[in-house]
Amino acid sequence: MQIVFICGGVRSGKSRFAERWAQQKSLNSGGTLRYVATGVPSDSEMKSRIQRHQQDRRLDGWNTIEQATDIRAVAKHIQKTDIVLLDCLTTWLNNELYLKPPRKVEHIRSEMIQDIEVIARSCHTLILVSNDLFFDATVDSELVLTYKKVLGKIHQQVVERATKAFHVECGIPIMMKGGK
Amino acid sequence: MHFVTGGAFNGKRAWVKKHYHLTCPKEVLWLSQYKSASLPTDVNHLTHSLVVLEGLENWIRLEVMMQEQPEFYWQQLLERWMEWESQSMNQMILIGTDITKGIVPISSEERNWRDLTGRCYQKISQHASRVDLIWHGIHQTIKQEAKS
Repeated sequence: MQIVFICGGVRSGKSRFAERWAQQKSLNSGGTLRYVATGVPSDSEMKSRIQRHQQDRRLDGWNTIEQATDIRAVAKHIQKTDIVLLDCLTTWLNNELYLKPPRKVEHIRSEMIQDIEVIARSCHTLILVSNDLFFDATVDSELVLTYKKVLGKIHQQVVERATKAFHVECGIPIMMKGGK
Repeated sequence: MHFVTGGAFNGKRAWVKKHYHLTCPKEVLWLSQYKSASLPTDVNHLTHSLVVLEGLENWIRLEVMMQEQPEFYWQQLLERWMEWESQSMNQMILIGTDITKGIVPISSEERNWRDLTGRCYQKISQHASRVDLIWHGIHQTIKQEAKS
């Protein structure tokens, strides 16, 4: 069971790095590249973005599994040698918060961590991408604070479980955990 | 003086507790702005030899920014804290959230806050014997002076 955590700002090149890492890994493991698509086609812009992403990945030999919430359901589609990429945790968290009946955020967090563990155990490597949004200078509303707090906690728990963790800056991955 | 910084909700507090083995709350005077503590301008009131100040960015916004010369005020505070630290076994740990990497805030007050916070953190780092960046629970020591 291997978890790789990749985090960076918007347009930092984190997705590109994650995809390259996944492709490299699948060459080694011989497993299928699985992309867990958490994006929901809520409007026409989102629809065309999703289509574009799907086309790009199809060319590169990815298999896409659409799953907006309850990610552990993906486990039944994957095999022990597979490389699974989920991009990104913020979209998934948004879906858990807004597509499902309201629950306590702490409850959502522990379910997400369990989902991650289930998927990681059923594949070769699980790659999780997320967004760094913890650096702005605004006095946040209660809602935003709660959101940042739960995302921050999820990140910390993922890093704890990760075999490798990368912080991507301007397209450059900086290894924060898992170096030799 | 040990400065611990990094983004919000990145596990700075947990790291300090782990690093200093702070399991018992009696060992330390932990002043947190998030719990509405005020900035200790008078060091004579410090009851412990180990003091943690948490939430610097908020104190800077609420208690430093309105001073006539905020940076000078901050410098004097730091000097007072260092003076206190030079006595016996005293040590101070400062925890401040990095708020300097977001989109430029629309309100000038928030822009000033961001600028001042960056400058205050630079001042701390100049004087601190150790500076750590915390990223999702992982620390990176970016400054460490040899113990004299």
